[in-house]
Amino acid sequence: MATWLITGASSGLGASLARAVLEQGGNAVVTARNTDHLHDLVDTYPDTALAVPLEVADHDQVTAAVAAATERFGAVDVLVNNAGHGYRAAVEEASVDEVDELFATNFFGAVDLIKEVLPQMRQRRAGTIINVSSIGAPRSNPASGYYTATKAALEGMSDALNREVGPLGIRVMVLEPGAFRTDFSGRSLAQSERVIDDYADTAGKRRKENDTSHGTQPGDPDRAARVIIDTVTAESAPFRLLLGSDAITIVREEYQARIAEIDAWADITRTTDFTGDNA
Amino acid sequence: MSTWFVTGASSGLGRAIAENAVTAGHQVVATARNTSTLADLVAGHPEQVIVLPLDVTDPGSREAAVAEAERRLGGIDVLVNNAGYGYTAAVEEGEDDAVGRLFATNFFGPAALVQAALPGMRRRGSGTIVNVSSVGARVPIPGGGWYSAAKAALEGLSGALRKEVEPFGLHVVIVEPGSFRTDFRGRSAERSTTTIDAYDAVLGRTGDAVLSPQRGEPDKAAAAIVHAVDGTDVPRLLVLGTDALEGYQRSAQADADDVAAFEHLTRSTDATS
Repeated sequence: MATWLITGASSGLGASLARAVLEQGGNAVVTARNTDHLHDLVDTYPDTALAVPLEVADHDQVTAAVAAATERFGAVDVLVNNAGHGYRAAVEEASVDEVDELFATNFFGAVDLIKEVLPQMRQRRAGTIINVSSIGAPRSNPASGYYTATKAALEGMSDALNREVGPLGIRVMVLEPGAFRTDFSGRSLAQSERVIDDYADTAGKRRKENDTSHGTQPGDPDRAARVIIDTVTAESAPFRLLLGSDAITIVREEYQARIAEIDAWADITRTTDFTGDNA
Repeated sequence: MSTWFVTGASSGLGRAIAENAVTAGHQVVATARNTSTLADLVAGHPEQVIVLPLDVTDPGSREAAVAEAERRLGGIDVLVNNAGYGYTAAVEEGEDDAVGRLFATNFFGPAALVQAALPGMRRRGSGTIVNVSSVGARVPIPGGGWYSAAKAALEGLSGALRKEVEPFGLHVVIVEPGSFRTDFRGRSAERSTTTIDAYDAVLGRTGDAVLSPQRGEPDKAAAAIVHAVDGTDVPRLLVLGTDALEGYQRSAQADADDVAAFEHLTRSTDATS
């Protein structure tokens, strides 16, 4: 059975995915900063579940987690970079420390794990890397600029990575969930300490104290988990997989708006090529 | 007439933007880490151009440059985040120090300059922020993952920024150039010192890789940017070059096809379905 290493497995999509993998008989290395919530899972599946404390921004812990997974189950077949959190701030309101922490968790930590598992995946000419992005990557809302930046960075990196490791037998996928009924808007959402009154009607409306979307999201994380598992074992899978009907609506609107913008400016776009003898 | 603040103005597209803004009658703050190549620009247009040293990764340098521009010219109307460079490495080959510097220059520096310029723009109720990205943000290539990540981050930030500052009368423009005949493949390109043999083929390190000549003329790109910013209908996304346009359209079509092909899976995760 395949061995999955899942970050941020103590709640939300990560927890649903870990449970589904174990239910189907797979091995799951479940990681979280705080492993308290992972003990139940390990008690239920003592032979196939392994809980490992992991702060993805800590390189030593990343190395140790992959080593522990490999020692226990022989290999990491599927890496799921799911750990991450939101951050609400107008671009102007953010502090360096807040943004550094966000990038360390949502982007650099994920890539660190990828670099850690790639040597063994390359050696086996097999493996799957799943990076959990967000529908917020293609469409950025007020207050979500830095969050979007981390997820867009993750997708840009993943796209190149997919082309680099595809020839070596390794598959890379990006997931773009819409709104799911997880703790995303609750416990795992950070925001800037600084507030600038001018942004009250834009970014301010999406600060935690004003955001009422929590608990009414349309997506079911358990269903998403089953889709993810099916996709990993399927013959054909897209590089980027949207999760949730709301994601389709958002991404189609976004693509159409961009194409319309590009078409409107295409005449200008074409004026910048060299012509004549210089071409 | 407005005041343009251009980073990375010592060569390439940045220099061309500075020159075209001058031609259009604007005041220009031309900034660069090394300003020696800008002496002729200021000598030729002493009434219109000031040159300031700026390392976009240095907070003190950023604050000093923005303060000096505002003090001498009354404010920044157009901030052009053009400074940046390429980094070629397979994702696995990326080195922490090099990646840190890349993000500092290509993402965190521009974001901080936006933060520095915004109070003045908000106060005056006008201004335009131009973030120079790359079509590589949309269409990554092997070896370009880190660069694409930094540029995609800049674009993602710009999208939210636009929605946040439009109510103040400000514009945010993402510029996505294709391949232009600048120093980008020369002085502005860095490669990882770490190399892993397994990636030699896909990164084109085997044999003599032949790069096609860049089709884009920097001066024309700069003219297009100045034209777009000066117009009444300012674009939120400006793709430059036929190669970029074709790459963008191919990529957008492929994305749309994927969405349609797997729509049934996507919809199956709704709680109510």
